[in-house]
Amino acid sequence: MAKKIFISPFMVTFVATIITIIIGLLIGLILLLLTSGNVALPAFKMIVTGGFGLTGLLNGIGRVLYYAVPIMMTGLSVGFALRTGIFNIGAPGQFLIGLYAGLFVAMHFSPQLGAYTWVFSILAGAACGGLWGLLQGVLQAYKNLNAIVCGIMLNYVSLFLVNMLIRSDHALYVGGQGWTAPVPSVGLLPSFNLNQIFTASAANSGIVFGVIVCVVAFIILKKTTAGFEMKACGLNRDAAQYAGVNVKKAAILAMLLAGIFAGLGGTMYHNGTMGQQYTLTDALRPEGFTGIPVALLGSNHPIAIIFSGLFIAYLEVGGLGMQSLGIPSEMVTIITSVTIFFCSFNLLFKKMYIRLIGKAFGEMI
Amino acid sequence: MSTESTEFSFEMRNITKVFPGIIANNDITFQVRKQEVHALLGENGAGKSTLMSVLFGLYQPEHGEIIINGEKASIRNPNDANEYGIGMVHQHFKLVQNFTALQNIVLGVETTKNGFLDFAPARAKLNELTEHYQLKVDLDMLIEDMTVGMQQRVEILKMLYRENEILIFDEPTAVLTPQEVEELMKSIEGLVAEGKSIVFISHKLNEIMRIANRCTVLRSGKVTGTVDIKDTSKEELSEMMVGRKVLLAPDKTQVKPGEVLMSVRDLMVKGAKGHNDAVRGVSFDVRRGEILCIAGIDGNGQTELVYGLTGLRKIERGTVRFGDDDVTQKSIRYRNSRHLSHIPEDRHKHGLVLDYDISENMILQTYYEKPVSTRGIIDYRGAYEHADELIERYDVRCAQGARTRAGSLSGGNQQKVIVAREIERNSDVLIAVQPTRGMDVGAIEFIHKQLLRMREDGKGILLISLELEEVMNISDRILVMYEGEIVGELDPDKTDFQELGLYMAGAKRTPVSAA
Repeated sequence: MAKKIFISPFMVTFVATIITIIIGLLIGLILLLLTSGNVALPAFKMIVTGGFGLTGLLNGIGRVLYYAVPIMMTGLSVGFALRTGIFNIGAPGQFLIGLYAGLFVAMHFSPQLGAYTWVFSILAGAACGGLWGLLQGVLQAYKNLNAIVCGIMLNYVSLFLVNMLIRSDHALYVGGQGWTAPVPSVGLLPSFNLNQIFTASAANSGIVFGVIVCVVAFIILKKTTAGFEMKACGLNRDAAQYAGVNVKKAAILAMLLAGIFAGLGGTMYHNGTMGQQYTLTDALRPEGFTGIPVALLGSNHPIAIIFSGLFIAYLEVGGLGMQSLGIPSEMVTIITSVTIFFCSFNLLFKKMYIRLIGKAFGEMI
Repeated sequence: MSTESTEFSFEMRNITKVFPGIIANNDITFQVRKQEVHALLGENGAGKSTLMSVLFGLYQPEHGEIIINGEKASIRNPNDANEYGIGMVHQHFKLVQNFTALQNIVLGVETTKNGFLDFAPARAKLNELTEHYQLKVDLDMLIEDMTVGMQQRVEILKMLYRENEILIFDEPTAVLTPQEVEELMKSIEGLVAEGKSIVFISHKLNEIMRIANRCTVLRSGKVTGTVDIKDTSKEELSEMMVGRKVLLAPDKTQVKPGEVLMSVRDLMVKGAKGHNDAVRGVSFDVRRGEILCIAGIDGNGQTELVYGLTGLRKIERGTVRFGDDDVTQKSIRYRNSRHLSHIPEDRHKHGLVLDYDISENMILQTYYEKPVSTRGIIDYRGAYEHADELIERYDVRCAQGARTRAGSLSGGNQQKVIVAREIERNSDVLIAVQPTRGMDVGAIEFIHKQLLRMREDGKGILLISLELEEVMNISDRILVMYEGEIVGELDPDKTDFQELGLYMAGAKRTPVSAA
């Protein structure tokens, strides 16, 4: 039956997501038309084509792969926690702690660790991001702290903690110019030759690891008893408690994992390519927050998040390309942000789509 | 046709509504006269809810038409239904918990003055309505502080405030105490006297016999008949509904009670907000091969007693033992996995994860054990097979077998899933809290049979029930709970409704020894 195909959960989500993306892009276009007049259409073309025309297709793909890694990880962090009923707005903090931990290991232990430095950087990033998530989880579960307030506050704690730690560390903070020394090459993620395949881009093995982590998260949710517990807590906490699940423990485990994912994102971003220097600022890095639309666009599904992460990265690369048309970088950020913002509306369009199909087949579903 | 149409308040003619794999309504004609109470009777899944959803415009039927006051009506959504004067009190009330009655009633049709909320006209109108219909409602009380009966009256007031003429009650007595039921019946009589037409959806034959003028019976999506109540009997109605003769009182074999399985001493458990003692020094034993029933009006500590026994709430004082095993301080999982099955009072809150499918709900407590999982990996294929087998054996009606989402099942079938799961876990003691709440006679008969079979198998059953008939029919001993205490022990063969009622109302009490 044709209808069955149209209303299968996969189809509904898929079509709704496509509609969402189209609407998001159209709103981006309207903004461009309002603000940039004569270059609006070329700029819009840049967003839609992901700026591939600018530097060549392969380089464009490489750039997308590079930008996708951190937001895929923070997206996974947010989406995974949401599946278990927690809104992890603390992802930017966990991201930053992961970033710092990876940097710290690379700067201090590269002589001892040699060629394996990058492995330990990643492990440290995952561990510290996880601990930061765990801290939030414990505060939420045992001290009944509001998850949103707790997450936001810990974001700022992490921001200034990292600034302070870097400032007092002479190995990291060289010259006092407001940024850290670049990561030594043994601390960098292997490129897997991706930077050459995708000519002269910063693409590296981070994307491979990122996809693997998403698949692992998928398996945890889909197959394991821990996933069963965490999902049950997210869907109906009372029933989970009735069934004997230790709901506090499950929530803490979920936050630990979410922290690990975000922390990995931080390390894989910063240790991803040559010459990265962390600039001390008073603002949180956007990768953490971009995780929220990535998760929403991916319907909190770990596999879908791989694709939504790639897509948002694609928009960002296109957005960067717009600067070549003389659109100020602030405007570029606004336009891509608005587009991304509307791309997270897929729940709304899911409902509209179900209605529409229902009408087409003469009934509500 | 024209003379006929004026006779009816509304008609649904030849309604057919098809869902994937099931004809929910098959050529149903349902006609309600002006100023009558028309009962709609049918098993779970017979198509009552679908029919009402069609009336409310939630579903568009494939065939058929709706005629209101002699004119063809087109209802595409609940707002249209409201325009036609149709209102409904749902089984699960649609009220905002931390709003007052007044705020809930005006929600959606707020009166304003210069753009600001103005409650004065609404309050005046509502005072008039409560006066006129004798509906006791404190307009300024928060919903969360109200008894279920008062919440229901708020729902009724909501319909009256919207000047609805056709009032639909979906299983209105499922959550009420006997006294509240009587009050509701009086309210309904008052509404009819004022010219309203009532649809009374219920499983309870006694109530239908008491209040309705006519009754339409549905079975598997079809009308089996519309009868005048004065010309029919409970037996006839139940046969029309189920399609066979039903034993309204189950056969009970003699079972000699064995050793004590669960023993409760001087139990004290706090209430919902933690500042009163809901259970105050309760002691009793449950023996092998007996059904011990705790009777009482809702809200006398039964819920908290069960929370204490199952571990959902901390025990303040006293002990709970299973044989030699003192579980007073033990976790829910400890009690679940060793001794206890539990059919919870609220199947949506505790009993099921509605977004999980049937198979996942069937393994809700056992997912971490062999054979359901090995080294942390769940064997979903095995779970599906297990669930399919239980669906078959417990006659759970579902569209997609074990993969059906629990939330898409009808209430009765959801309950069957829980009953199947809890019985199959094969624990020594089963705590069944209102296991037949809101179910039809066929399903009640089935669940009672299962409880009696467990009893014959030498299990101990603690039944918490508000239904006096159920209490009298299947229990071996009755303890009455009043204001957190056990106020009497009765033998179902030697007592009657009157005596039980006196104990439940707190008018009579006799000392009870623990054992």
